[in-house]
Amino acid sequence: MGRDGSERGRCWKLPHTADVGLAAVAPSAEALLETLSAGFAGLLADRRAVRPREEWPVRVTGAGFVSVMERWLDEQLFLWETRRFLTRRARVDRVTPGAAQGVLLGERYEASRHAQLLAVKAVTKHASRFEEDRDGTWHGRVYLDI
Amino acid sequence: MERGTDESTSISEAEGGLVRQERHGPLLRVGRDIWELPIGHRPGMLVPGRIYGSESLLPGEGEHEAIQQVANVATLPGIVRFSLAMPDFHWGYGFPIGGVAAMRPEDGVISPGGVGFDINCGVRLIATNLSLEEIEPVRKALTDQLFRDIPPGMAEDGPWRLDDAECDRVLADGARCAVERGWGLPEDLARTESGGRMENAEPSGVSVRARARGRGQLGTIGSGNHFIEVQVVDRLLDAAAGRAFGLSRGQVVVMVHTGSRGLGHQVCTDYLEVAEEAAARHGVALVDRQLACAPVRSPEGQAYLGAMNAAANFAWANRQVITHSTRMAFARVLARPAEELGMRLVYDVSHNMAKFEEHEVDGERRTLCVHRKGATRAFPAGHREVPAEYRDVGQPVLVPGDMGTASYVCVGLPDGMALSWGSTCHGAGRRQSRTRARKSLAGVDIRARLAERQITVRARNPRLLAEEATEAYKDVETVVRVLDDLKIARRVARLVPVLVIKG
Repeated sequence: MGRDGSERGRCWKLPHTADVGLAAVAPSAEALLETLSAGFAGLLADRRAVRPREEWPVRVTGAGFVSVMERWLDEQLFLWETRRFLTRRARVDRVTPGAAQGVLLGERYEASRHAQLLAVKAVTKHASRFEEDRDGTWHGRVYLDI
Repeated sequence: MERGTDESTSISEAEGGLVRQERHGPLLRVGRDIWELPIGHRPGMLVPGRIYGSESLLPGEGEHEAIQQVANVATLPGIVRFSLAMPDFHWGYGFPIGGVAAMRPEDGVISPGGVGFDINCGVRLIATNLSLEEIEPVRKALTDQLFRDIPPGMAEDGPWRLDDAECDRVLADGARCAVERGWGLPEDLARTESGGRMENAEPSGVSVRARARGRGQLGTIGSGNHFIEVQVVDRLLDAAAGRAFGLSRGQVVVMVHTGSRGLGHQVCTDYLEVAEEAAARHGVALVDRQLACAPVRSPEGQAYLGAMNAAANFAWANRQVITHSTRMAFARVLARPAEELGMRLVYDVSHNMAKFEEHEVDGERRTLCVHRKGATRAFPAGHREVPAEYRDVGQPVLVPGDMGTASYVCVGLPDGMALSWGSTCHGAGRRQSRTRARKSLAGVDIRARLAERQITVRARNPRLLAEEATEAYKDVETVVRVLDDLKIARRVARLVPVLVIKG
């Protein structure tokens, strides 16, 4: 998964027979969510062609870090499917076990400029992970239904 | 043993002589194409797992996630007899794809993950009275027309955009609502599973977010493995059943595979959250959060069932609108009224649903909540839920293969009721991940390869062609052969693709 300098973490795809998974590491919870959000955006469309012209505020709540991550990504999917909003990157101001707040930066889909990649149906709860290890590194994992 | 990995063979004495005990990883062979996952495979299993398939269809070494998921499902409260997997089963999330589980309503659970995100994803088959020779001259025009009229991919520009009131009617009445608005024929409903309408649908349980996602998607197929295929009946394997279903050799038919689109996906997402909280409250220990569930008779379980039924109705309305669009596309291109083209719906099956059904358990008739996640009903002749015109033959079962080989029409058989709660496969089943398929086919022009076999393909997203290529799937011939041998579903007709529309 490519980086464009905006993420402070690293994200890569996980194999799955029918669907696709994402894993990421980052130095903080905020950076991890930004990294997963950017990775998710890269599954939906070629992010290099998405200009960060608009900001879309996002605030989600959840019961624990994992639930917060899933709901953030679900919000991103919802904006794509209902508003045709493509994300270039995310800026996450704060993540707690109960909520996350920040913005998605991107623009509306234009068929002439944006190549759609995967059509993601949903963010699953299968084997999701969002946690800090003993060394202070944050690890994330999520599977998407295709 | 055909092939496989991690298997061992031992000979043990049993009544009447020596019995060969074969293993495939943790699976023990208990019949020619029947494998058992012992109850102790993982802690908490309440019943054994049972997998139907030849050894060539089973996961290979290091690919045992799907088998683990069969074991996980066996831990769900109220599960009866077995956690089942059909021959096309593969790694999903929560349930395996191709998984079937029946729960007692009294003490069992309903799991949104056991139905899947694409609630009432399914397949329908539309017959025509056309031959391949008749559509050959208009092949390109027909491809273009279908691609234009039935938007694939992430489309939200379907032909019937719903306001809130109309959305409620679709959620309550399903395909019937679509037919009443002119999207199809009254007789289509009789040839749709459950008449194209689930009772006890609760539109008010479908969130604003779900409605927003589905608002413009009626009449669209989506992406992934969804498709519209124009096919030809290549072989008729059961003449009597074929005749009953209106199929004959050389006949052009149209197969449609799609579901409840974004509306259904969001309903599942919403109720997974509800079910996860309910599971904790009711003391259900989840071995995978995607197995989140609620007791069938709890308020949360009932709320999910109402919303699931509403989303199922949306899916049937979607396939009904697509049926109408398909008829109109054929009529326009062939410049003949659709009625003259004999475009009769053969049947519509659901393969992502939970339904209350009567089955025999320990000699008694019991109502069970049967989850089918990537599995199709296959009820036999005489069953009251088989349409009257097919009741002497059995329920048509539609098994899509991959876009380069073949699909099948089968018919449900009596033995399936005891073996699999009247269930069978939903397709060939994936063998390779999307990434692996793309890598292994890098540089291969899939479109040209299909064209060599006289198959025209049109896809909104070209990279999908490699992901959906023949190599990515199990061998559909083996999948349906296994089901035929087990007497779960008999093969009736083999269909080969001519024209493929993908998302």
